[in-house]
Amino acid sequence: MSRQRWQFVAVGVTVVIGVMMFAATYDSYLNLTESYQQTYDRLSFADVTITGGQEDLPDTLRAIPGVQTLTVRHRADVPITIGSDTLRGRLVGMPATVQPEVNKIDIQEGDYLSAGGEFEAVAEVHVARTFELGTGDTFAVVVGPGQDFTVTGIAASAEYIWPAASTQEIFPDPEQFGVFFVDEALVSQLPHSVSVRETLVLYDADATTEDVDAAVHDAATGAGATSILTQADHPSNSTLQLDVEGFGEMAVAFPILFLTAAGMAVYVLLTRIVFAQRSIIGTMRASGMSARELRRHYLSFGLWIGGVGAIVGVILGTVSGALMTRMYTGFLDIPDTVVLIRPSTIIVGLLFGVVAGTLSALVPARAAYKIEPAEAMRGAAPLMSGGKSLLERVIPPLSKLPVRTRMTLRGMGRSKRRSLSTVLGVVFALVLILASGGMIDSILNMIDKQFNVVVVQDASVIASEPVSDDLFVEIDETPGVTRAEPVAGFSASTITNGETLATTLQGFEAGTQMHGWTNPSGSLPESGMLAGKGIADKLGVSVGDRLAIDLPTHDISIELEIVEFVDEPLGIPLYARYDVITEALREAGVDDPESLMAAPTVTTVMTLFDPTIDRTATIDRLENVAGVLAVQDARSLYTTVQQFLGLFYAFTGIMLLFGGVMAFSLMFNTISVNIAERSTEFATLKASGMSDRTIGWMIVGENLILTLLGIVPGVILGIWIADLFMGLFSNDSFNMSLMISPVTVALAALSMVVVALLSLIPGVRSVKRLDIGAVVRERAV
Amino acid sequence: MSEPAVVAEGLTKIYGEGDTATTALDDVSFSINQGEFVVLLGPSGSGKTTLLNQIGALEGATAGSLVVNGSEIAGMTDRERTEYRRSTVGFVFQFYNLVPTLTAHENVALIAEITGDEPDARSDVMLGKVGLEDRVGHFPGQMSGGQQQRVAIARGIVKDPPLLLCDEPTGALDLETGRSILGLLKSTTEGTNRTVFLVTHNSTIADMADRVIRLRDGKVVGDDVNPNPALPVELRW
Repeated sequence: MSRQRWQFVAVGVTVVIGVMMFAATYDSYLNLTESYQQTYDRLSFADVTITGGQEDLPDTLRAIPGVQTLTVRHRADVPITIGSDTLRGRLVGMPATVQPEVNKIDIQEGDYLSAGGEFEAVAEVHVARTFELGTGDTFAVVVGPGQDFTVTGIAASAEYIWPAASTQEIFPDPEQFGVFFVDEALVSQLPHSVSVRETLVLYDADATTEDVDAAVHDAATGAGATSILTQADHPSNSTLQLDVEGFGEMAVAFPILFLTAAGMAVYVLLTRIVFAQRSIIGTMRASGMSARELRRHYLSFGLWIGGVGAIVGVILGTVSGALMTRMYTGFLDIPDTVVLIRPSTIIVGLLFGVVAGTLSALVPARAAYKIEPAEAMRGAAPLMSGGKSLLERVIPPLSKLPVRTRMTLRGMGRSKRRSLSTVLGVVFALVLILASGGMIDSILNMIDKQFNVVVVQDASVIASEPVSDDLFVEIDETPGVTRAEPVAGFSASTITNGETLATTLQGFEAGTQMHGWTNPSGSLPESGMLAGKGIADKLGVSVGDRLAIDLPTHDISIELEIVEFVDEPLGIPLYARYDVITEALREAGVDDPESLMAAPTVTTVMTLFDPTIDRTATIDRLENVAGVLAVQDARSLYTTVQQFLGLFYAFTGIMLLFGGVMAFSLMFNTISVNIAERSTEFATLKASGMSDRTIGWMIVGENLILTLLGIVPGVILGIWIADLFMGLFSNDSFNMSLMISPVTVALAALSMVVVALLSLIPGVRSVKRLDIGAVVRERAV
Repeated sequence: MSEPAVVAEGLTKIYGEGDTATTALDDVSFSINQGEFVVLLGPSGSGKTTLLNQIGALEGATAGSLVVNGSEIAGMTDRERTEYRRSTVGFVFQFYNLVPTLTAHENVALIAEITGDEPDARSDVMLGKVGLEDRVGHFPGQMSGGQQQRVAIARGIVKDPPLLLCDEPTGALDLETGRSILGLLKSTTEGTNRTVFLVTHNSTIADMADRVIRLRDGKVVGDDVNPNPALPVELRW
C-alpha cells in the first residue's frame, strides 16, 4: 500500500467524511428528536390544541378513551408596550401558583406566577432575550384602560420553542411579537374580539395517537371548534420537525454518495494494484496459494481502508453530532438537550465503511484469483484493443485533429469504468453542492418573493381607536408617507371536507398597492376571494368553490367564493376586497359592518414610504400621530432574516468543501492510476522528445472532458434532488419550490473544473518526474 | 574526416548514495564515428542500457563527458535534453512501447507532429519503408510483435535522427522476426549518416556490427571494429 499511499489516503478521507456525515447527522437527528420529546414529556405538551367550540367540549373530550387530561385556557393577542417599543403581545392564560396540567412552562429564571399577584407575567425566553427583560421589569398591555405587568420569571415553553405566532405566521418579527404567561383569570376577562379559548388535550402515554386524534377531531368538529391542531401540526413543532427530518434525510442520502464514491475509488485503485501485481499473483498461485487466500488478501485492502476510515469517521461523527446537537439546542433555546453515544450508530457507521470498502474490493479480488498462474507469471498484460473514440465516430471530422488531440479523446475510453468513476465523482459532488446550494437559493428566493413581491408595504400602522377618516388622513399626510390604505385582518378558520384550516382573511382596497398579487390575473377580484394555492391540497377545494369562513373573534361566519389561487411562499392566506368582506359581513347578519371594519382589532393602515426620506424618521413621525398605537416596520423582519444568511452560506460552504473533497478523491485516484498505467507510454513519448507540457495538456484535456461529461448529468441530477429536498420542506406554513440561480449552477460547475485541475496537479508533476530510463525498460502493465 | 558522432570521456554513472551506491558506468571512454552500426554487448547488469540512456539523455551522468555531434550533453538542463531527444535521437525498445489507442499510422504521426510538417505524409512514407503500408490503420493490439516493432522503428526514424538507439529490439521476438527487424534496422542506416547503437546480450548479433563495445561491471572491456559485418539473414542464435 505504501506505493499508493496518497491514493489510499484520498479514499480513506472520503470514507471518513461519509461515515462522519452519517454518524453526525444521524446522531443529531436522534438527539434532537429525543431532546424535543423530553421537553414535550416534561412540560406535558398538548397532543392536540383545540380553539373555540361549545362550552361542553372539554367534558366530551374527557370521555374519549385515551385522553389523559386536559386544560382549558384563554389566549389573547393584544398590543403591548415594552419601554418605548410597541408590539403584539400574546397573553397566555395560566393558573396562578401552580402550573397547568397541560402545556407547563420551564422556568429558567425567577419565579412562576404567585398567588394574588394578578398583574404578574412570566416572559417567554425569546421576548425576554429580544427586549433584555429580567425579573422585575415591566410591560404594559394597551387594551381598554391599559395595565402594567411585572415580569416575575423567564420561561421556555414547548409551544414556542420556535416562536411562531400561528401556522400562518411562522416568522413573526421578534421585535413585534412576544409571548407572556399571565393569570388565566385576567386573560379570560379580555374582550372576545382579542381572545380565544383553547382546550389543550393530553393523551395517555400508551394511547394510539391516530385513534385518539380521530375521535378528538370528530368531537371538536362537532362542537364547532375553529381550529384543531395536533402536536404534529403545531406551528412550532412542525417547523422544528422540518429541520429534524432534514437531518434524517441527510443522514442517509449524503453518506451514501460519499461511500459510493469511496467504493468506486477503492475499486479503481485495487483493480490497478491487481493488474500491476499480475506476475506476483501468478508466482503466488504457482507456489500453492489458494484462490481463497488470494481473495482474502485483496479483500483485506478494502476491509482495512473501509474499517480504518469508518473508525475515524465514527469517532469524528459522534463528536460532531454531539457538538451539532448542543449548538442547535443552544441556538433555539430548547430546554432539554439529550446527547447520547449510541452503539447502534457506531455499529451501523462501522458497517457502512467496512461494507463499502469490502464490496468495492470484491471485483478486483475476484479478478486476482481468476488469473491463470501461467498467464500471470508472464507478467504480460493483454494489450488493450484500440479503436476510435465515440466522439470521433459521432463527429467524423474530429479524426482530422492532430494525433495528440485524438489520443486525448481516446484516452477516455481506455478504461470505461475508470472514466465512469471520474464522471460519477463529478456527478455526486454536484448533487451534494446543488442540493444544498439549491436550498439556499430557494430560501433566498422565498424571502425575496415574500418581502419584495408579496408584502410590499413599508409599515403597518396600528391604531388604538377605530380608524376614523381624520386619523386616516393624518396618517396619509404624515411627511415621508406616499400612500396609506386601510387593511382589515381577521383570524379565520374553515372546516371543509372534514379538514380544518386556521388562517387569516385580509381585506384590501380595490387597486391596493400594499400587496403583490401572484394570482393569474394579478389583481384582487371584484367579488369573492383569493386563496393560497396550498388550500387545494389541504381542503380538497378548487376555484369556484364557496367556503364557509368562521371569524372566531367575532363569532361570525361568512361565505366567500374562491376566484383564483395566489402563489405565496408563506402560509395559506385568504384575501378579498375590503368592500367584499364588508358586504359578506352584512349578509352574515352584522348590522353595522363598517364600524366593525374600522375597529382597531380589525383594521390597520398600511403605508408606503418615500424612499428618499429616512424611514426611521418617517416611522417616528407616524408613532407620534395621536391615536396611533404602534408602527410595525415591514422591512425589519427582512433585515433580521438576512442576518441569518451567514449560517446558510456556512452550510453551503461545508457542503462545497465536502463535495470538492469527494470529487478530488475520485479524480485524484483515477488520474493517478491512469498515469501509473500509462507511465511507459508517457516515458516513451518523453524519450521521443515530447515535452512535459504537451503530455500534461493531453492529461488535462482528457480529464477536463470527463469532468464536463459529469457536469451535465450532475447538474440535472443535482437540480432534481434539490427539488425533492424542497418538497420535504413544504407544509401548511411553507410553500417551498425550488428556485436555483444560474449563477449557483455555474459556480458549482466551475468548482468542479477547479477541483479537476487541482486533482491533476500531482499527476502532471509525476509525469515530469518520470524516470524515463527505468520506465521504458519495463513492460507496460 | 567528419567529426565523431559520439565521444565519451571518463563517463561515470553511480546510482544511490553511501552504502547503497551502485556504479553502473565506471570511467567509460570511446569514440564512435558517424554512420557506424554499434553493438553494445554485455551480460545483464553490465551497464549497456545505462550507457544507452546516457547517449539518449534519458538521465544525467555522475561524472565525465559525453559529446554527441559536437555538443556536450552530460550537463544539459531538462529543457535542453527534451530538445536534444526531439532533434537528435530515435528510440526503439524491446517491448515496442506503442500507444495502444493509436493506429500504426497515428503512432508514427504523433512523433512526426512534434518534429516537423506534414506528419501524415511522413508517417505513411516511414511505414512504407518498414513494409507496413497495408497495416497503417491497424491498432497495436491487432498486430504481431514483429509488426509492432516495425512500427516502433518507423516511429524512431520518422524525425530522421542522426542517432538511433535500440534497446534489445529483438529480445521479445522469435529468430526469424528478429533477423527481419535487424535487417530493417541495418537498412535504415544505408545511404544516411545515421549512427545506430544496439544494446544486446546476444553475442551473435555482434557479428553484424561495424563496431562492438563490450561492457562488464560498468567498464568497457572491449572496443572492436568488425571489418566484415555479417548480413542479418546470416545470423543464427
